[in-house]
Amino acid sequence: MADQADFAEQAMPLMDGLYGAALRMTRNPSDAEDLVQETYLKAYRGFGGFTEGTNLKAWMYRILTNSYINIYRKKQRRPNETDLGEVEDLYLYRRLGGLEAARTGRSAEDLLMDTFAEAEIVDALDELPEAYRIAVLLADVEEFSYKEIAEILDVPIGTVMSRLHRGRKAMQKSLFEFAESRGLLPSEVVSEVSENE
Amino acid sequence: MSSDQEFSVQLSGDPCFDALNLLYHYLDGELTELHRVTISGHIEFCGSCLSAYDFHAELRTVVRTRSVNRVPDELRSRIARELGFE
Repeated sequence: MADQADFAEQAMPLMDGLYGAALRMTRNPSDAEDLVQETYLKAYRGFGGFTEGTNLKAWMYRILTNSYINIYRKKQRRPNETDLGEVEDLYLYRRLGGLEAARTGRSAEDLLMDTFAEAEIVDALDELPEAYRIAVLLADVEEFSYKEIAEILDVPIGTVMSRLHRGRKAMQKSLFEFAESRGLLPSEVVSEVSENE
Repeated sequence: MSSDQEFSVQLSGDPCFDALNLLYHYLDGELTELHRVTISGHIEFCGSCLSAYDFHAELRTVVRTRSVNRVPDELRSRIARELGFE
């Protein structure tokens, strides 16, 4: 049985990550703070039941996710998760990276830095319907494995994979639209894309 | 990294198709060792697949680095106080 005294040492260093995840879930700093506080209170009370040597980080994210669902999801209309539409695989790359990088030899890093404003990447993540947003967050930001995400969200691993697949594509579509709407695409890319359609 | 895959991945035999199809499984560290080595071997000499991998690996890095937030000091103190750590 885990010792309550170990909690400060093991769980407190996870707070930055949990707060970041809470921000992406609630999309509101004040709600994110409440959610993190609630998560730590629950985790501390339940720490005696936590099996030492198992995955504390995944256990904390599971408490965070369940608290978010219990407290906040009731407040909002359930998002329409079928609303993502059909997006082809590797959407952004095919429209942007493949054309540009092949021609100019520009690095992927330069291409992304030049094309997207600081906040746009996070905005594209925040725009995703909740189920997709949380899956992408747990994989891309927190770097959990599919199996860990399945345990955190209490869904089958196939569901994790399909949410990641669709969520990432939808995010790429938003990113492309940001770049397009702000006129950030080089004109040759825009004309090449429209010729292909 | 999960070694006990609960999903099955089939290779089609077309190396470019497989590399692009399994791109995210690869970046997520979710392929079996055999499939990982097969794909690494391909992208090493296939410029167009390598370029696609670079782009998505970089996009993943950018998503991660831009989503990092530091918890406000006030919240950290409040939680430590509530739990009796201060």
